[in-house]
Amino acid sequence: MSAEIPSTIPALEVRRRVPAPPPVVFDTWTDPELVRHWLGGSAMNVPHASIDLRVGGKYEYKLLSPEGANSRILGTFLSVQKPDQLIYTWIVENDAGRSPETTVSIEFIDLGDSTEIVIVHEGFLDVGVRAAHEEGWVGCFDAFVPLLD
Amino acid sequence: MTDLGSGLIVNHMVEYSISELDTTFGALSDPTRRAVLAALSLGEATVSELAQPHEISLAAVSKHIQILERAGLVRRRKVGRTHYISLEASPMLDAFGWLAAYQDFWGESLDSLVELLERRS
Repeated sequence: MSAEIPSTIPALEVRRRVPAPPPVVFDTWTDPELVRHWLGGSAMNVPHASIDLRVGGKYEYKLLSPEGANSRILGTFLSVQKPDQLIYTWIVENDAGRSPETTVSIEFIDLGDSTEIVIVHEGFLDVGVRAAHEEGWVGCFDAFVPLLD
Repeated sequence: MTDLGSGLIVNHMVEYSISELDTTFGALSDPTRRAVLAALSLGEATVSELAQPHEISLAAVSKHIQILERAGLVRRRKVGRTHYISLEASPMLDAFGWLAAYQDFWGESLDSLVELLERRS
């Protein structure tokens, strides 16, 4: 009876080293034409992207899946620090509805000829906050894996 | 990730039935209920076994178990007057899958970003 479940939701963190310095990576990340070529991976098409790169500015990516389904990713920039950091809200929308708002923080760490990109995607608890009403949601995402064994 | 998978990623990011996620998260939002689930991860237990480590009444623990049951997180098996409770993992798998869809999305996007940067250099 001593097993414990942690009381906080860890944010989703993804790290990748990419072969270009931060200014190039930052531009590739924020130029609408270039975003169309990498966002969503090789299978997902991005027919349109618009980016108003300033604090309070909005962005929108239109996505088209290979099955022909349309969806949109949209949000607002909360922090723009070229070429080191970006923070923006993130909502996914398709015919089925709209995801809860999450927050994406990107850091571009200078490694000389290359950059380490650190993506922290968080705010997944919002949905739980509403559900838990007065109770105050404390989560346990990282407890799922051991529980599922 | 196959071509067919990419649409699913976005679907999961949107859909993962928000109401079910709400129920799952709501049920998980209490320390006693999380302790009950942790105990059940070690195997099936009776209601009184589950109540034992908690400084609350059997009735209170019973109520927590009912909430977990309504959320589909546990199953109940009756043998005479004894109720055995066991873990039902699928709602948590859904919640976990919802988060995993975002992980996949970023992984796929970064693969393409690396390819693009390599082509441009």
